[in-house]
Amino acid sequence: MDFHFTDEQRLLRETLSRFCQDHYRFGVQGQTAPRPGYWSELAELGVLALPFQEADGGLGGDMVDAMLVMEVFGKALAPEPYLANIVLAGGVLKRLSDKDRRQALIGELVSGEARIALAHAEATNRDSLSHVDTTARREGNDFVLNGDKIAVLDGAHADTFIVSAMVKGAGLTLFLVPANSPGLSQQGYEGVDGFDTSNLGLANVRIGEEALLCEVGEGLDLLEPAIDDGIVAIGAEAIGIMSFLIEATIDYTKTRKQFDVPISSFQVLQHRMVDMFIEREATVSLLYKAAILAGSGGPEAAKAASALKVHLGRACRVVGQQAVQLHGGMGIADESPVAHYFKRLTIISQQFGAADTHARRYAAIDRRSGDTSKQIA
Amino acid sequence: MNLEFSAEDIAFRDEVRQFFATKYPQDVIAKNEAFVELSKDDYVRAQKALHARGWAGPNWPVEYGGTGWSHTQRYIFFKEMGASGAPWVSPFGLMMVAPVIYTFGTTEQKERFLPDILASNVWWCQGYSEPGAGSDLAALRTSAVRDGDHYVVNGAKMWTTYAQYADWMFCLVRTDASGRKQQGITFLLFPMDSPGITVRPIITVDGTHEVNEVIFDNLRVPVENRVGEEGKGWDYAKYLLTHERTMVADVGRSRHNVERIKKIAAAERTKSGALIDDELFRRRLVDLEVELDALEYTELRLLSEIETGGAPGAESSILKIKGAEIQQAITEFLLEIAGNKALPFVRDRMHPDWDGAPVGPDYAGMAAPRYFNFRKASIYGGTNEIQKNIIAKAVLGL
Ligand SMILES: Cc1cc2nc3c(=O)[nH]c(=O)nc-3n(C[C@H](O)[C@H](O)[C@H](O)COP(=O)(O)OP(=O)(O)OC[C@H]3O[C@@H](n4cnc5c(N)ncnc54)[C@H](O)[C@@H]3O)c2cc1C
Repeated sequence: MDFHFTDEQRLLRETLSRFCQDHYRFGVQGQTAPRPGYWSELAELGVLALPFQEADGGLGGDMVDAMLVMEVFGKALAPEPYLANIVLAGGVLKRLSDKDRRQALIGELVSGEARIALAHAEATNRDSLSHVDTTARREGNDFVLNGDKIAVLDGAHADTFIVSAMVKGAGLTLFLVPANSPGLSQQGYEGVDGFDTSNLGLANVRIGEEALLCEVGEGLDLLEPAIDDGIVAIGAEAIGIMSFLIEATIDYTKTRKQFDVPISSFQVLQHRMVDMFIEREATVSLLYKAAILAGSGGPEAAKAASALKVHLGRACRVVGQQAVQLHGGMGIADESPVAHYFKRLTIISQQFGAADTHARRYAAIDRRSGDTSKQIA
Repeated sequence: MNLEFSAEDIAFRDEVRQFFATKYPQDVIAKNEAFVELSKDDYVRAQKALHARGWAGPNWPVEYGGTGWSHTQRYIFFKEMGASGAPWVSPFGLMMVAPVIYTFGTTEQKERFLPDILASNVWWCQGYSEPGAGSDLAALRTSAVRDGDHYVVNGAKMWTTYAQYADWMFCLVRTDASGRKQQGITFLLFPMDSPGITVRPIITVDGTHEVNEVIFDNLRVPVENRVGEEGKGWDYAKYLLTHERTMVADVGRSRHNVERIKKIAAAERTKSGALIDDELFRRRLVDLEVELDALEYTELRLLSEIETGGAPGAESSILKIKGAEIQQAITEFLLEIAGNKALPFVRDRMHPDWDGAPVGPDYAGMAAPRYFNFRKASIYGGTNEIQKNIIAKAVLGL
């Protein structure tokens, strides 16, 4: 057993941290949308290619590497669409069985040329993976898509969408849909967490058979592990954010004086910061487990991802709320970085399903497969 | 021991209910229910409606235009007000500075200020906190130096709620820095359009403009605008604090909001039915309702204590702590129910003049900003930590 990072991984972390320091000093860039130039710089640094197999044009890394990247982005609160393009869309694409297609699409993605966004969530379809209300109707060799998607990360910048839809009699299926398809409309907005997001309308969008990313009805096999990768990624981002908030809170309470002493000298506040720290440590542990298992597929990986998400529900709340509380009024002032990290952390706690959803999934997997975590330890 | 209100109390309750359903501005209720930020005019119109009914000063003595209600009636009034969906009364004039003026002010000051406060003709703001004086309020440093018939004021106030709306400020200033810090504090009143005052907006995390920094640069305040004695301001401020406690629990509003959550959760579908029927969700919602029941009866117990001649002690800090926690928990539920639909942030969505297109259902668009904004409830008016210090000291004798 070894929880240490390799020299290469450490180097990557340093390079990327420097990149973030140069580009996202809070207050200079603030929460503004990502600069187009940054994405191609990240491609040149190899960060985009990192978690893909070498045979597919990647650098041969895995979710542990993606985790390192996301932690650094989290700490800088960098609004880059790594989660949307590399982890989610990339997570679907790297699991395609058609080799030529897989390599071609991943190649475009990691060069930074293509922006591909996953459109799965729906307003009427709370956190369900296996069912959506969007439909794909067969017409000859074509499919006709109808439905509405929400919370499409990086949607406004995407040239292509991966859309989930139900095919009658077969089930959830994934399609590759060009953004300029007739009948496709978008409403873009800034998310409360500062990320560019959009809602997508699909009104009789006609696509050919080549748009199919999987066998009809087999979409869940691609989607579910990709979302679990997403959970690992936001878990790592959360670690970066928590680290920032804990450090900022320690620094602030050491310098803020009330009653003639630094407020860090009040034991009740010390314990509060210790609670924040303990929540972070538990998150790191669950994250490592989920990241290491992520490549393996199977129920253990899914269960570890849900475990991480259950814990994030509480940890994000404790760390975010206490960071604000211990800053007093300053914690909710828009000009203070803490407020913005708090917002993103809040959204992470419910992204890809809140704690209840994942507690239920954890229990269901556990019931089906026996307690597999015992076999691993 | 019994739980019944008297027949008169029940009749009173129905009268209050009737008033809010018919005589109170319904557009203000509708806005408040949609979680839209209210304009100054909304607040003022609503308060003037209360005044027209003779209900603007529930806490005031009858001689100055108060209602002469019993504590139970006041409780009923505020509870019904919350339950109606009506917004808060801006407390700074009616509930904060007025008691100080009618208790410690001169006859001239009473005649000059109280009628306009009661009629909501003048908007007041509270200038206590400073950059260096939050929880440790007595550390305030804004200085007032006597110069003939005037005080010359220099310094800065922080977090001043709705200073941008205010016509007047009541303000704690330091007139003497030589003794204990609680001494040498003086209570001044002045118009906000006086030369030497700058109001700088502080935007909060949800994108709204509620609070401000107010800077004084050689502001001249006539000595006749001092309330009470020079150097006794701390005593007046403390007196006021005990008067502030009547509304802190805000049970009526929280009860109302819990009912709204239930309706929203009933309309929200999950894989297996309505969210409200989801056992994990429902269990947590019941926990919240139990907390609210406990808070309501804690408040009633304190009330019955006061009715029978007891004094509201430091126990009322419990109301502040639990009241804030419950308000915050409600916003947390709303955010959770909204889920992915809470994601769009439309910066001016909360603004009264906003007329853009919604990106999702009304409640969902407001869920995240409200959650962020309500972190303030455990910070303002004495943080939850400070309230616990008070209970530790004054109640538990620690
Ligand atoms: C939305 C909003 C509206 C406001 N409106 C007004 C207004 O209209 N007028 C006005 O005068 N003020 C107003 N305030 C200011 C408010 O009263 C202060 O924010 C509050 O008193 C806390 O002070 P602070 O923000 O400086 O935090 P600090 O006092 O610096 O506290 C920081 C942290 O330290 C903790 N702490 C401090 N002392 C102790 C201790 N002894 N033991 C344990 N923990 C401690 C606090 O609980 C907090 O968690 C408002 C504040 C907000 C957020």
